Amino acid sequence: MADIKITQKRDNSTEIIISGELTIYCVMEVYQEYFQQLKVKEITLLQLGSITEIDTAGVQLLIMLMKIISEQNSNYQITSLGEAVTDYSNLFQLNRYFIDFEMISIEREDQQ
Amino acid sequence: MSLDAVLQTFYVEAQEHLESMENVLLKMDEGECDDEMLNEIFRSAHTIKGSAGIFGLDHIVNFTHVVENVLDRARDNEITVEKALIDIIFKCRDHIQSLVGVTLDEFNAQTDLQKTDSDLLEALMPWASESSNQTITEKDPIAEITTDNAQANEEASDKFWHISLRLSTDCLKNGMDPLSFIKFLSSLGEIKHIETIIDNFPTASDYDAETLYFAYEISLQSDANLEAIENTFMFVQDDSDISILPPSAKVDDYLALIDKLPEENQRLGDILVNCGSLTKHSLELALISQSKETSGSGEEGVNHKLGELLTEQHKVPETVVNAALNKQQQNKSQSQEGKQIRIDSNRLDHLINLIGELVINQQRIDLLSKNSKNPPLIEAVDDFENFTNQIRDAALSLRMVPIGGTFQRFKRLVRDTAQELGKEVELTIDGAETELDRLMVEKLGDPLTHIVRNAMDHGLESIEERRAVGKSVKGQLKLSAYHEASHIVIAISDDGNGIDKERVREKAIEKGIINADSQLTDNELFHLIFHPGFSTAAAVTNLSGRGVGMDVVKRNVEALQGSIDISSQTGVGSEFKIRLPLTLAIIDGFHVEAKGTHFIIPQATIIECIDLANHLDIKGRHCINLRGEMIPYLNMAEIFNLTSGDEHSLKDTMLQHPPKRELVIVQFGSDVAGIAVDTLNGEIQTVVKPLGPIFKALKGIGGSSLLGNGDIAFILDVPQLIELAISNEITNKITSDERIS
Repeated sequence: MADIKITQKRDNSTEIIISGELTIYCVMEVYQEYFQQLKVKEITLLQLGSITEIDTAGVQLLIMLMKIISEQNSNYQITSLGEAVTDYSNLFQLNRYFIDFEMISIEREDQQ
Repeated sequence: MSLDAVLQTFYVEAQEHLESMENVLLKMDEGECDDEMLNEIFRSAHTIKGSAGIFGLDHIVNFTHVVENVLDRARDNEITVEKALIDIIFKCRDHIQSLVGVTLDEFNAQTDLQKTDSDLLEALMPWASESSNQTITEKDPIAEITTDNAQANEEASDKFWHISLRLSTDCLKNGMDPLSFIKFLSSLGEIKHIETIIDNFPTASDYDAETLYFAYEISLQSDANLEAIENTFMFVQDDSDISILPPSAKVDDYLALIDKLPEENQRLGDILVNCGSLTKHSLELALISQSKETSGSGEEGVNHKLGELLTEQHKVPETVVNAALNKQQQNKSQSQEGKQIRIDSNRLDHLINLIGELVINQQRIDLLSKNSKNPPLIEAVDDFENFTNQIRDAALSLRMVPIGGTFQRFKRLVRDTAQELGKEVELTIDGAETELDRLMVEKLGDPLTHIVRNAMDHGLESIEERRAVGKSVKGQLKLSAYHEASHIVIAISDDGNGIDKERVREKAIEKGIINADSQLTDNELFHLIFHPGFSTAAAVTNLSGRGVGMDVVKRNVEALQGSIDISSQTGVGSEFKIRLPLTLAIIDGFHVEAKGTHFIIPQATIIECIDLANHLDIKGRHCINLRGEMIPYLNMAEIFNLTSGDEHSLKDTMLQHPPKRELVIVQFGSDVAGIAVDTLNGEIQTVVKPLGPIFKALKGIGGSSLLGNGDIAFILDVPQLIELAISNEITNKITSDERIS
C-alpha cells in the first residue's frame, strides 16, 4: 500500500509525496481517500522518488492526478522520480509526462 | 477470470505441452525424426515460453528460450538431431517441468535448480547458435527509445510489425497488466516505438482507478512469426481489440487500421508516423490521393474523407485479417483434436449416483407395471427400461479412459531405467485403447511402476548374460491390456530369467515367512514375493530390492477389487497379470434367492446355471461332477446361516413349490466353483451400494443393492466365495480322507 502525504505549504504550493507500492491493489483506495477531493494551490510539487513499485494502474493514477491538478489551474512539478517510475516511463516511452518535469526540477536545483 | 485461474490454465497447458514433448522425444529416440515432429516439439517449447513470459516467469522464459533456439536450428537443418542431443533435450524437458512447478522467487532460492539450469545450458552450448548464448536480459531501455528515422525503417521494413492494442478495460482487474505483454514483446524483438494513448482518459468524476484507459500503438522489430506475436495476447484476446499488421502490410492496411480505431484519424496518422510504421511521406501521399478524390465535394473535412476512401480499401486488410483468422482457427482446431473437455470428477460422480437412483426407480416401475397386467403400460415401461440402460452405459462410459495414457508414461520410465541399469530394453505396448474406470487408471500407476521396475531390474538379465544364453541382447518388456468377461486384464511380461523358485524359497525360509518343510505350489511360491519385507535381489539398487513395493502392489490392486496372477518359467520369462473389474458403480447382476434372502451374482462371472438335483453329489463333500470335472460348490444357506424368515412365508413357499436346488457355476480367473441357491430370479441391473465398515469382516459379500420392490439384496463377492469354496473343499477332503482311513 502506498503512503501518501499531502502538505499545503505557505508559499502557495501543495506538496504531494507518494511512497511505497503504487499498484492495482491500492489505487482505488488511494484515489478515493486522497485524490478525489484533492484541492491544490498554485503550484503542486510531486515527489515520486520513493515509489518502490508501480504498475499500469499506478501510472494511470499519476496521470489522473496530473489532470486533476491541471483542472484546478495549478502547475505541477515533479521534484523526484525514482527508479520504479523511470523504468516504467522508459519502457512505455511516457517520458513526456515524467522525464520533462524531472528536467525542470533539475533546472530548479541548478538555479538554487 | 482471476489471475490464479489463468495461472492454473497455464500450468495445465504447460503440462500438456510437456507430455507431448516427451512423446515426440520418445519417438525420436526410437530413430524416427521428421520435420513435423521437430515442429511439434518446437511449438510446445515455444508456447510454454510465450505463456510463461506473460506471467513474468522469467526463469522459465530464459531457459526455454535457449532450448527453443536449439530446436529451431534443428528445424532449419542447421544442426542434426543426434542421440546426444535427444538425451539433453529429454533432460531439458524434465527441467522445464521442474521450473514450471516453482515460482520465480522459489527458483531464485533453490541453488540446485539453478545449478541444473546452468549445467543444462552449458550442455546445450554445442548446438546453440551464437546469438542464443546470451539469455534474454532486460534490454537497455534507452537504446529502445531511440527511434530510427522513417527512412531507415523503410529500408528494414521486412521486419517491422505494427501492433495496435485496445485491451479490455477490465484487463487490470483481471490481473493482466499491459506491462507484462510489453515486457514479453521485447523478448521477441526490439520495441522500436510505443505510443501510449491516453485520449480515453475520463474526467475525475468518471474515473475508476481499476479500469484500463491506456491504448497502445507499438512498432516491433522482430523475426518472430505472427503466431508468436499473437500468442503474447492469448489470455486477453477474447474481449480486447488487437490488430497486428505484418511487416508486409501496405500503406492501405495502415490506413484501414487508422479508420478502424476509435481515435481521431489525423492523430492516429501522426502516431503511426511516430511509431515509424508509416512514413510521413506515405501518409501525405495517401492524404493527397484522398483529397484529390474528394475535390469534387470540397467542403468536407479531410479526416472524414480519409475514412470514406478507406471504406473502399477495406478489402485489403480484410483479406489479411481473414487469412490470419483462418490460420488461428486452423491452429486451434488442430490442437483441439483428440482433446477432452475437463469436467470436475465430482460432478461426474454425482451424475452416476443419480443414474443409480434412476435405475432403481425404473425397476420399481417395471415391477408395478407387470403387476398391473396392462399390456400398453408394460410395453411403455420396456421402452423406458431400454433407454435407462443406454443412459446408464453412456454415463458409465464417461468415466472410462483408455489405459494408453498410463502405458505411454512407461516408455520414459523404461528408457531411463534401462540406461541406469546398462541394459537394453524394448517396450511393446498392446491394447492401449482398452478402457477402464478413471479412478482405477489413477490408482494403477504406482503398482505398474513397481512391477515394471522389478521386471527390468530382476527379471531381465544383463547384456552379457543374455548373450551367454543366446538370447537377443535387447530385453523384451511387454505391457498389454485386454478385456476378459467384465474384467480388464493388464499383463506385464518380460523375456528374462523368470522367477528363481529356489531363491524365493530359501529367502522365505530365511525371513521366517514359511517353514523349511512346507510344501508350496508354484503359484503359492510366486505369491511370496508380495509378502511385506520380501526381496530376493542380492544387491539393493535404488530401483528395487528394498523389499517395499511388491506388497504395496498387491494391496493397491486388492483395494480395487482386483487380483494378481504370476506365471513364470525359468529362463523364459515371467508374466504378471492384474485383473480388475471394469467399474465399481453399476453392474449387470443375476438375482437369486436362498431361504428368502436376495443375492446378486455379478453376471459376468457366471458360466452357466444347472439343476443340482440332476448332478451327482460326491458323498461327504460339497462337490459335483460336472461333465467329468470336479467342481466344489457352496450352499448359500449354510455359509450365511440362513433360516427362513418367518413360518408363514415358509409355509407359503412350501405349498406352492418346494425350493428347487439350483446351482450357479461361476468363474474368476481360472478358478471355477458353484453356488447353490433356492430360486433363480433372472437378470437385473444392480446399483452397487457399499456396505458399512462394520460389515467389512463379512467374507463373500461385496456390497448391497436395492431391489425394485424395496427389498435389499446382497452382492456376492465371487472371488472370495471361490476361495472359500476351494479351501472348504480342501478341509472336507482331508476330513473325509481321515474318515476313510
